[in-house]
Amino acid sequence: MEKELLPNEVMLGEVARLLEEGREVVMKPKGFSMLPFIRGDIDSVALRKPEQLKVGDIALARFNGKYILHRVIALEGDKVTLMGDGNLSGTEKGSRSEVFGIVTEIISPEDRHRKPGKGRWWRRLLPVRRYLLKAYRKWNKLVGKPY
Amino acid sequence: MRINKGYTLRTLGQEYILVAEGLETVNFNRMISMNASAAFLWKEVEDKDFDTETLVQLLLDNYDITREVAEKDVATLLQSWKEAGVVEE
Repeated sequence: MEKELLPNEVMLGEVARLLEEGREVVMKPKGFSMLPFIRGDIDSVALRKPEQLKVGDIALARFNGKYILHRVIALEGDKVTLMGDGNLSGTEKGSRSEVFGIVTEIISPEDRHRKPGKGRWWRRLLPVRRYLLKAYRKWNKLVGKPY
Repeated sequence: MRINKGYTLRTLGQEYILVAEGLETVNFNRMISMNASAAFLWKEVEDKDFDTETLVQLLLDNYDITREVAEKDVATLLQSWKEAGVVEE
């Protein structure tokens, strides 16, 4: 189930550089780890350099040499903890300076733009996330959607 | 033919990519990767009118290849550029 969320390292290096310059970047993430909010290889995200990182933001970061696009679940001083919405366990830790961007919009293939929520309910529902994700997948399979 | 505005040629590591780029937003969804000779042709004709022969001639002048190979390469390249919508007639 865990699959690499993002495309190649080199491209992400360029994305990080452009964000640092203050530009907006649109790209399509891969993988399942941000379900049900971001469908890898289907939805695109618009990213910007964060003015002030907050818990609940979906952040593009490079921790331990690996790029990730996951939600901020904790902030303590300089420390940032991320976790994928589509993951049942496992977090990633790093520092604020390793966060390059936050998602400002999620864009569907039909070009519908929506602001990402903070995922408060979703985070609170972590104990039953397993069942919610299962139901989500089952439902989509039933209606013929890819996820 | 002309190349549509709004694309920028960028170098990513060893690769060349064309990226749809507005003043504010850089869109990596509309990205086309190119090899060195395609990138060379792109730079040469980026802001002028050109036709198939222009590109073939550029390849012949700059690479040690036969006309036959050049024509074949240009045909393939133009097809991919047209499919991606980066050139217009």
